[in-house]
Amino acid sequence: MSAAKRAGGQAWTDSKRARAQAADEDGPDEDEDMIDMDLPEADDGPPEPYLDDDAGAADFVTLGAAFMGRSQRWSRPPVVGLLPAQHAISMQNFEADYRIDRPVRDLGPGSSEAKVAVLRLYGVTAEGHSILMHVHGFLPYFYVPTWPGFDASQAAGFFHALNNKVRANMGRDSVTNPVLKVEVVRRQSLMHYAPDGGAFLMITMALPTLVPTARRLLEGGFELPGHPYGYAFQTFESNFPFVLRFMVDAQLQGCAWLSAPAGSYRVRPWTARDGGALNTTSTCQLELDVHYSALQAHSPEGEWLKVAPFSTLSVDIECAGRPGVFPEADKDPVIQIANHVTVHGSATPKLRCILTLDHCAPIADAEVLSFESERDMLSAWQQLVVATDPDIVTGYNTLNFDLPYLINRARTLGVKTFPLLGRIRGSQSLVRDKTFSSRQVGTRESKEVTMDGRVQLDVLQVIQTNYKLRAYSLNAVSAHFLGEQKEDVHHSIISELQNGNADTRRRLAVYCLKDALLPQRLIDKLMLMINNIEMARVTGVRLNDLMQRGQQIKVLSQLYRKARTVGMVIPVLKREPTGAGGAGDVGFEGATVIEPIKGYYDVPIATLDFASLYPSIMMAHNLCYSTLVRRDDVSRLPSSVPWAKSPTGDVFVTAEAKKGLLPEILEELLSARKRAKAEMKNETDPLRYAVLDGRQLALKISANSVYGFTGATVGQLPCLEISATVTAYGREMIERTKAEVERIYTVANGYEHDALVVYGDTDSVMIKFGTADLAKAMDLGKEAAGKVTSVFIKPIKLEFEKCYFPYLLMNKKRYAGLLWTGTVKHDKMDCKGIETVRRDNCSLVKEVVDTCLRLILIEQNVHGAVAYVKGIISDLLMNRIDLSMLVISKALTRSADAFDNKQAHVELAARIAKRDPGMAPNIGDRIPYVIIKGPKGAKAFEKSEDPIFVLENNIPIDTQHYLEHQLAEPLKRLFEPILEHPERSLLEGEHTRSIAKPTPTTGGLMKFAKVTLQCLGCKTPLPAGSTSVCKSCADKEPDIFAQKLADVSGCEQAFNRLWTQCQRCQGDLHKDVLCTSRDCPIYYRRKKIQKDLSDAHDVVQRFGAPAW
Amino acid sequence: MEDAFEGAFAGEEVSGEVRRADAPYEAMDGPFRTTASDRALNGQYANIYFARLAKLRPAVLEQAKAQWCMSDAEVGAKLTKTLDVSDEAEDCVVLGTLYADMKLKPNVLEEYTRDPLAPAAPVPTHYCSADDKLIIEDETGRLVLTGSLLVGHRFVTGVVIAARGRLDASSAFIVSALCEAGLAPQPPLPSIVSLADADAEPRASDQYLALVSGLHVGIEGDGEHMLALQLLCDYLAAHVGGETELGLQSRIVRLVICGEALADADAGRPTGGEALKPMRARAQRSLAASLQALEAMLLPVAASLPVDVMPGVTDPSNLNLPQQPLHQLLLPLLCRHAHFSSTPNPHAFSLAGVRVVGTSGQPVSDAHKYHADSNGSAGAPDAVETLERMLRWRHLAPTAPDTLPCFPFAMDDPFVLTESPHVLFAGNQLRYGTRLVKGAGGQRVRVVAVPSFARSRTAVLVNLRTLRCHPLSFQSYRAQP
Repeated sequence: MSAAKRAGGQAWTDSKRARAQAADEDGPDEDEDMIDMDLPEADDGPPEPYLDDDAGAADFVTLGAAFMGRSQRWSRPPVVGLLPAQHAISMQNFEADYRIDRPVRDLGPGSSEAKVAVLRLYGVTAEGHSILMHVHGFLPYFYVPTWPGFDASQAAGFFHALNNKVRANMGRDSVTNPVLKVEVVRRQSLMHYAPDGGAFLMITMALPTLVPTARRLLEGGFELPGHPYGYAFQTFESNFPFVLRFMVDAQLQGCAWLSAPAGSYRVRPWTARDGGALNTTSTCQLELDVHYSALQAHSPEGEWLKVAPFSTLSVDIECAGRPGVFPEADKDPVIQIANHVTVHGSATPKLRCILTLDHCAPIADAEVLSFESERDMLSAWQQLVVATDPDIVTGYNTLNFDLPYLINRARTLGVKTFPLLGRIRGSQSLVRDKTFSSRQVGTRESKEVTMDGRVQLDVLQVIQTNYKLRAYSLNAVSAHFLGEQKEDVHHSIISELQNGNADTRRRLAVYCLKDALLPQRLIDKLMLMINNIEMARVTGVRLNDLMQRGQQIKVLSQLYRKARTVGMVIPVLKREPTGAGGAGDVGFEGATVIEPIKGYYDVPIATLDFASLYPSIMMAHNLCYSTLVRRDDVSRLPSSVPWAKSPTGDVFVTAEAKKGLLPEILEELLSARKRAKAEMKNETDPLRYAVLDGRQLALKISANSVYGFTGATVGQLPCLEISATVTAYGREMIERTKAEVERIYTVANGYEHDALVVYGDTDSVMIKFGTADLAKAMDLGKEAAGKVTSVFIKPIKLEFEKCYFPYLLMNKKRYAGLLWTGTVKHDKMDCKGIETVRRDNCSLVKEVVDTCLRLILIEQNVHGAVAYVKGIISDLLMNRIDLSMLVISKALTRSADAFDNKQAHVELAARIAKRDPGMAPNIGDRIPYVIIKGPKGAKAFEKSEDPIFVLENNIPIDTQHYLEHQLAEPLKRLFEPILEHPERSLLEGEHTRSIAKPTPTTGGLMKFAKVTLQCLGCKTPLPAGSTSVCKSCADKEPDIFAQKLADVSGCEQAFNRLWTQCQRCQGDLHKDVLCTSRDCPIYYRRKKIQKDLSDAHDVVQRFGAPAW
Repeated sequence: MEDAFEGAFAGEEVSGEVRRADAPYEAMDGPFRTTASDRALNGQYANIYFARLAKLRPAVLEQAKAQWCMSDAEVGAKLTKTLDVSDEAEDCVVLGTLYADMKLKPNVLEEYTRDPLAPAAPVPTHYCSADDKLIIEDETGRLVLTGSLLVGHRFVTGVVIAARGRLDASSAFIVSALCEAGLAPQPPLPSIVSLADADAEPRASDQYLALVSGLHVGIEGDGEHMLALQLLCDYLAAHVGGETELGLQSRIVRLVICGEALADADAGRPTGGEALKPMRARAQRSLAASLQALEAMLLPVAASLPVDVMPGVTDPSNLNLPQQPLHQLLLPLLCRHAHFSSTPNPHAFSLAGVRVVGTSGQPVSDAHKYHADSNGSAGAPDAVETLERMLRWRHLAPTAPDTLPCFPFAMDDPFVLTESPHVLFAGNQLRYGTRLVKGAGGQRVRVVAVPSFARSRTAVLVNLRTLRCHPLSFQSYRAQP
């Protein structure tokens, strides 16, 4: 063997191959009986990894050597002693896809064609083995209704006509007979009420890819035998993804367990009766073939509630960018790749490993693999992914940055094996641009990286979708959820660290490892995996569908599952053109808001909420596609069918006539949620508890998303009659509640006060019963909830949950109050619609608004709040507010030319680039800025400046701008219900008259100014020769000096505390703090204190050095 | 007044007139008088730690060899960077700076993110809590130290030590032995000094250094305190007392006021979050009056006795260590006096050949916050013990900069004791205390906790020949008729 001459990597591969061959020779037949496998074999896999013959300087890691001895530890536990004939095999399914392959008929019946679709289910066993199941025998199908005058004898003719037509229009995936079968079945359309079903044709196709062809032909006018003109069919269930179709029919929920019984499956490699060899195709530990009919899907209950020990790889990369340019994969090298592998259920990580370009000093609890060439490093990473075989690939912004960058970089360098990151050997991971829109997240442009058999979870995207935060940087998110600041290294320093020595690169590596660890910790803390697994189980879709698709697929999947059980079929609707005239814009009123009676209420305000309002309306009124009666058909309804007209004029039959599918789905979801909550009460195992909690949350979210699904005008199955009816009922109920409450609770009826509904919104009403006694208000609230509930149809239920006391009602959807659920202590301060999360407000606004609310609500001290505001305004105008409180930040999304309107942060980015190209912000960076004083009439965008530049150069802040454009509006809104003329009493007056005007040290006229020292006591100019005080202040000189010393002491203390805090955070005493996290409240202060301290010392120096 | 010295002190009478003895004095404050360039106000603190570790590493290593009876080769084989310590190694030695990870250390970040209306948490008297960790750090990384040896340890952040042991399952380092730098070499004592027991009895020719701290001039309305102060000054200036006293008084060759000569002029001294807002003007009037009172008090003393004044926490100096000398502007009359000097804190000098180093007490007080039982309760380490540890650590202020403000020196750590002094003192302590610390290399160091005069009415005399200490109490004067 030539291995001796080659580098270690080759030797490794070769020795493995030798082992594999040896195994073959020992007993090719034994695999029937006993299967022991460790690593997947790579015989016919990707070409050999790139190798330089002279690569591998003594202490750089050569490719294969990197994994020699490690692969054992990194890979999954080996499969030992599996007897296919005696052992059933069960796995939790995490991902599924299909491939076009040749048929295998040994296991059961299937298509007669030479090409079939074989489903591939990827999963993990309870022992942690990775399995790929090839499922045979499942065929794609769809429905069309029969035409007028149809009789069963015409089916055969239709079959042949369709078969011929499709054959003539086949593209790439050609087969002899594209249509396999046409059967006449009884089905009912989901859409619109009909007393019973009719005859449908169920068309079974040879390949899933042929379904759209057939649909297009049928919809576009199909020449029926005996019909003179083309007949345009409406098709049913012809656009449902094949894999989901299979999951629905197999009753396989997402992330559910499934079993192949003993004897029903064959483990690859094996040879079929027709002589075809079935070899392994993937890097999974076990590959088996099984027929669709043998599979047993387990509903996730009882034993099958468990979660398999799946493994997660969290990745972060560092690139060495050039100054002022965002790293580009075709130019800038990847220098480090950090990896963090965890196995579900295990507290300690399985692997912490960093690949570095060039030497890197060792790191305590991580493996460091250093490479001399970037190509080797990239190859090694691909091998690491294959060896560790993760089920989930995660990270922070991995989908839009890390993974595409790696793939593009590998392409630039010609590392051919690199894109083989998926589980299927030889299939390349591709980067695709994708635009994703949904009502929930808006339109978002992103990238998609395919990786067969693995689920990708980008923590950034999940958090952006589910949480509203002020900032989404990893640092800000970690600070918010994990309560810790992380070191943030500016990208301009990264290249510097890389170009240093092994120790500076180690520094970077530690940082990079932390960035790989944090997403995993976020996943754990926020239960992202468990909650998503439960969502997949509840809605029946794959994890990847949850990650990469919107809300609709979830509802659709449930609808398909439900419809199948009752013999209904779901029509494929042609999408209505959106915009003017489209159905989407027809008068569809939103939820109601009872006009708020603005004010500050210092008596308890009881709040009544409708529990699950929209789902309960749909259940109460039996609203569904299948209960909606076509307007034209209303008059033709037989009198025996009971129906009701909704406030929108739409007619739905009642449950006695026919129970709707949506109400049934909702009932199941809500009762399942009740069950999950009941089980939670008795559950002692924390892991199972977490699973149940994730489930009840998923059930709640799912129930609430059904309404949205019917209203999604660009959706799969919009039905505005339903959604408009739902909101109309909702409005009516809110009005009704108001009327009932105000009718019952009056002095005339023997109550102490007349009740008044001060506000109502969507599903809640706020009632002032008049009493000042909290306990009494709560009793009245409970009583009212009961009384009003009785006027509504079941299961609509009005609940009393909380009182606000006191309550500040500013406007529609804008209120704040102390929330009480008990009478002893308030639960929290609840604020709605108060814009403290927006980043284009400086943090001063947030602090002022928060403090005012606390003073008003908790302290109930309105005067205190007014005094506080005046104090802050005075401090602001006197320039006593910390600069970090005034920083505004906006993301730089496109280059300056792309904006029509000039924007402050864009202009600033351009100016910074001019000043110092090395510090120029990149697209995507957040640009922090402050507004500085400019010449008279200068536009706001001309007055933005970098906070650090402002600190260094003593540039005066435009405090007036902050007062008028930042503070004024929120304060006016806040105080409007309380003060008569908030503007006059807050924003004008004595406290606004003292204004500080600092002298800038650069710019404009200062170039021509000569600096004359001023007396430190009275600010009169000093004559030449004196440096500290003037003659008339000479008496007070010791005092003035002592005062300046006190300034020094104050600065020294602040300096000490800020910089030692940063050292603690970075966890290192012997190295300089490098962090530039602009989200950290210390960052600007730390910078400013250096300046302040120097200045304070300089002032003291003016008194002369101590000379004794 | 104590009568310990009775009969021991006959003044040197020269033709009926008693003359004060004088002794050669040399200030050695160089490292503590900072220049603008040393202070590196734009810099960071890493440099100090780096310099400290570099300066102390050879000493700790030498000590480790001696203590653990190892040869160069053995030490070389066992000494491991924290990063390279592996699970397999049964016995290795790591050498680095300690860091005490304590949640209760004042946290400026928490103060910023704290709810502004929530009541401020009371300032804790110490930093200790249940999950404190002691960490050792060298240039490469950190290790958490554990083991029974650490139970009740007295270490603080910033101490450079060597630890011997191995990793446990959770990657913490189980310590089997610890090694400090030990006392630094000591310059020889002048020949007149004798530490032999037979010579310990005071002699008439002995000279004394007087140490006093915490005069707190300017406490309003405390007559008793003013009276005690006056007595102290009269005593030192030899204005009171009989012949016996005069004999002793004339042998006092120098007075060092080690910090807090002035009372806290501003009760709102930086504490907690307020520290970070610019300080408002101090109570100016009381400061000016206090300064005048101090001058009036010290002028007669300085007329006959050389006086050094070190700044302390309450004095009008800066806050960072080394605190800079009180400015001449503040004490304009005293500054004209040849016998008066304003010195930095820490202060180092040689007097009659005896090397003396001391601080106004901040490093000791701060080190005590690292231990829950240190605030005066029984069995707590007292200042003397802490001073002894600092000697063995060879460091005057190990907790700077972690919890004790100091300048971010760029090149050096001036607080490292490259030599052991003969006398080490700390001012403003709760109680008087003293101890003779002996080093393995024959070093003898007199350690003195100088009590706060305002609290104890006690000054301390150090015999410059025997290095014995004698407290001088002014407590009982008032009670006597």
